Amino acid sequence: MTANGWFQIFLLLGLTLAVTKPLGIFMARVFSRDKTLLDPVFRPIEKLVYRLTGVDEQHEMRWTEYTVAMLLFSGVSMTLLYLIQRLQQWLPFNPQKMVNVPPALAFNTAASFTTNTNWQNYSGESTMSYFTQMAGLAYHNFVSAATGMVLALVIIRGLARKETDKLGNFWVDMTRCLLWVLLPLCLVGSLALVSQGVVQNLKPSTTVELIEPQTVQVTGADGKTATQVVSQQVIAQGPVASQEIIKELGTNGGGFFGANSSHPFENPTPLSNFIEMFSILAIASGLTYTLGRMTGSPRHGWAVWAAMAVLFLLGVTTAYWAEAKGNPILAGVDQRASAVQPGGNMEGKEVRFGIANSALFATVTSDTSCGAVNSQHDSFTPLGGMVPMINIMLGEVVFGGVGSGLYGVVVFVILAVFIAGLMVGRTPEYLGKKIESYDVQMAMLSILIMTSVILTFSAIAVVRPFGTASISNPGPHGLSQILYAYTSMVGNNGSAFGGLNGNTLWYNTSGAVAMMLGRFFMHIPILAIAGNLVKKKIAPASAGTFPVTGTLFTVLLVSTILIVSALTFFPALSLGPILEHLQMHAGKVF
Amino acid sequence: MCVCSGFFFAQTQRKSKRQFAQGHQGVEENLVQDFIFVAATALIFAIAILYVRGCERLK
Repeated sequence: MTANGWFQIFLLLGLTLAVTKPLGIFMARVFSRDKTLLDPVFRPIEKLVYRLTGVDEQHEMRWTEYTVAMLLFSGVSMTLLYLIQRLQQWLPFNPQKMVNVPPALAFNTAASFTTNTNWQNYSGESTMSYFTQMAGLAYHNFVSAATGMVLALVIIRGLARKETDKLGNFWVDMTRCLLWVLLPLCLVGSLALVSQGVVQNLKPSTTVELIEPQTVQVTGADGKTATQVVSQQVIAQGPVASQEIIKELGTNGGGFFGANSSHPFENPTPLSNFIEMFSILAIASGLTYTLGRMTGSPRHGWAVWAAMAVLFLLGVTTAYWAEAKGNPILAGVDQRASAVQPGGNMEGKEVRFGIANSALFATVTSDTSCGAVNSQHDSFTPLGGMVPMINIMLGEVVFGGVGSGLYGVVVFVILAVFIAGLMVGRTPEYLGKKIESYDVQMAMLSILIMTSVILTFSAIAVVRPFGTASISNPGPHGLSQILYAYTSMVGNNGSAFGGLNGNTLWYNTSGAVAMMLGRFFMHIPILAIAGNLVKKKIAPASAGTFPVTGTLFTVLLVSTILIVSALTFFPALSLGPILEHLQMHAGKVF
Repeated sequence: MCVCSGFFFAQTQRKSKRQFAQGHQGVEENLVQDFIFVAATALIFAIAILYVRGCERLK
């Protein structure tokens, strides 16, 4: 570990802290329909959208109406994305003449992008036309992120409002989120990425002659191996920057290229890498302040932020330490960081990012529900690779996905105040709202859905040939590949551990179902909590009220998150990365 | 992130062009799968709407 590495880690956290309040205030104003500087530009567009679509912006919805609107919107959008993929060879903007995406892969991809997961069983540059990338995938990057944000807004309104059953209007919230928050930030961010060398064009791929032709062994259709001289290289092009920035800001994670943020056209420099990591954290961090401001308790927002920061530092410290330490199997090899080498375990990492920025990116992308990667998590040391897996298993509540992180952490807050209430023998309260059995039932339902879907699908995959045929390593590492895949899909993260061939009928279909269960079937109980909370009175704080603002609350929240996750997933982790770590120190690798 | 990034890009490009020429073949076979996947999507969202009602009634 180096001072430079730590400096970059704390610089990222410091900048994230710095934007939390201004961004949080801005989002609170947008969603409260207060005046903002952007009103002269976007208000006329907003009115036009409502006039064209027939939306009554004064109409407020109950939680059930709001949820059904979200489900119908997502269902129709998903079907459209499926059809775009299946018809892409007859649609415009297809200079590489990509064929239609096969049905099972199209189903998986449609579910993946609709649920903000962006798990990709394909390489974008050799599978998707520019039309599919722009009108299908980038569109979903915007709307799936906005969907997460408006659902967070619903739970905030559930806490902030009292004695009503109205939680806002889904269509109005979506429109305002897209126009005021995501589009302006993406415009600025994409230009920043272009300045670093991220490509943005509609050109077909460029074929160039290699300076030094390469001789490679290829296996023909008859199974015979032959030697082939490769003298040309195909360099992919496309509208990358515009998709890249929403991929990070919306915590989507789906790369334009198969190599994602390790590709030099997606993430060319250490500065572009920093911009991308900052973009992943910014909105989710700002929403914690929005929570505090809209509920009238900014200190509560900061207490939640502090809990997230503690978990963030725990994760990045472990990953950085594990990767910087190197591989004990390579005894005698100089793995120390120096002026001439980054040191540590550099397998699967880009030289321009090194150990610190690879460990940091892996932590950031799995703390949130992003899933973009700038290194291969499969090549991390067992403990280093376990960090992103645990981060997702925590429910991605460490800043989390845009919106999904906030409503996920609110579920843990409800459990934390419930536990505190049990300990002191009082009815638990959260920001003046009494937490009743229904709220706790719904919170537990949400947590149990995620857990049961991950473990059930993983269990099926590890005992059936259609599951194990896709892994590339035996033993605990193979288990990690499968466990990571379903954790990532159900958690709507989308990062791949690597090494698992996901483009099979089983993984495409089971993955699509897992992603939909992980998104919608976890959301619904949380929205039910919002619908129940909004009806309640706000009781004034008394001497027996457990404060949700101080250090004690932050410690309790961190403990609740860690204990619930550890109890649930420790047995599976002990058979995967923990066993692999112990075996590695005994001299055995997989 | 893509899980198959180890593929040779040039190879998949050639394969893609070859498949494009044969694009019309197998369209009928895929129509059945298209129907199944679109129906599965509709079914899951229909169950989700019922699940909303279930959560409301649990109160």
